[in-house]
Amino acid sequence: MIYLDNAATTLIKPQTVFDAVNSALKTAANAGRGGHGASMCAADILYACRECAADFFGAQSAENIIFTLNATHALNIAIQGVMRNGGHCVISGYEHNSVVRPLAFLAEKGVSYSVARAPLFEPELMVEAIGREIKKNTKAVIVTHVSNVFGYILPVAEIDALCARKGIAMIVDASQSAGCLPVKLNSLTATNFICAPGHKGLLGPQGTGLLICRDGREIPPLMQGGTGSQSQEAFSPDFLPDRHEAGTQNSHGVAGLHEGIKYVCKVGNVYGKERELLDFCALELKKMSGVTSYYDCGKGVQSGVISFNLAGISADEVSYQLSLMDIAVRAGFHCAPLAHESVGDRAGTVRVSFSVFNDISDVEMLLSALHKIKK
Amino acid sequence: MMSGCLIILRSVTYAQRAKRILEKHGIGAYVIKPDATLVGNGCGFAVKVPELYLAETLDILSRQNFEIGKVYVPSKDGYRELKS
Repeated sequence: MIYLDNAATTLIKPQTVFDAVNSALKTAANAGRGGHGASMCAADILYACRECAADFFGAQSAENIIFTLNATHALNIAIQGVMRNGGHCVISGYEHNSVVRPLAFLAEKGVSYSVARAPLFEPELMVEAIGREIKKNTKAVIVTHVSNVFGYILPVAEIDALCARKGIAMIVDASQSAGCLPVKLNSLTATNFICAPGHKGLLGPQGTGLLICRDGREIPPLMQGGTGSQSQEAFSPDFLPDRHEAGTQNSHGVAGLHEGIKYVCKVGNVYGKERELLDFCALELKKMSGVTSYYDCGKGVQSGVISFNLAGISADEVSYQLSLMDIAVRAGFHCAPLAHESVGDRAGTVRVSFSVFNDISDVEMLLSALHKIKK
Repeated sequence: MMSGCLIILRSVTYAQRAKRILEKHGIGAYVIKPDATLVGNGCGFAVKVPELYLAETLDILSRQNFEIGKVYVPSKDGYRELKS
């Protein structure tokens, strides 16, 4: 199979990820519960990954890394925590439903939000649009670092600086950037939370995610339960990471995630590699008649994700035809209807998304298949 | 298990961090799950260090802003809490 649906999850993982999960399945029990070797083994696995992730994301300390099920889980902890008492927040017009739906859910608690609309691949206009939507009662700005539909790299540093000037907290959804572009908490000022999946660019297994906190103690936990600490207290601990890690942690998955992060570090410039594939793919798509594609034309504000449509054939039909040729892409609205609204798309797109394991021959096969479908 | 002093910390994560920091300072430390009655508010974790290095250990952890719980030294009955 030629796998080009890496924005949904990376299917191809380094061998070290498989080996680590397999080993942990045999050796790691429940971290922080028992005093025996198998429990301590699990605790070691979690801590080693925390240390690695803290360094990778510029967190103050290993405790500031919270393990979650996925980025959606991390976003819910952050959004529902920060907005728990109501108020207004601003989101970009390229947000995923993992941001929009928690906010819609919080409407009954008095939460409202404004959508900052700006054209695709125009970062300066996005900063201006967010600035325009900030009100007196704005509590937070929530932005995706990279659009999961268009690969658009939003100007997170500039938005963070704007928020810092206005004294507003920021939450960054790094679902598509973690493992591809640098995302460092210590290089940002207003950003208090970075939310990342473990199973996409970080190359870990599904069921892993990260909430990277500046402090994190100021928000209540989303879930309550056992933590292996302060167990005679009725309330969740007030310290990290236990405050936000009720229940058994996925030490088996985290073992793989740790290896995934190490692999990404070893590769280095993942963005550069994916960008080469993007540019080749986009320029070839431009040559094809009847293709509408969304490309930044070399501006450097797009990661390894591209959306397009073939005239007269629905996105889902294109995806289906490609799957018959053993090429995996995604079609539709990609759980991000706002992003489609922002570019005026009403029918959904075909999305191709690369990983570090793709190469030019994969793109050539895709292009050849698209030519056949067009006929 | 080696005999030594117990320094109760808030969680296994803090105990793991303490162990790594102490090892960087050349102090061999173990993460253990002590008897819950020693912890004070239920289950918890501790680092166990040789008594010879207790003062240095407490100094290092304090400088790293660890919130240190109870500290125990070995006694003929098991452990005796060291009152500061």
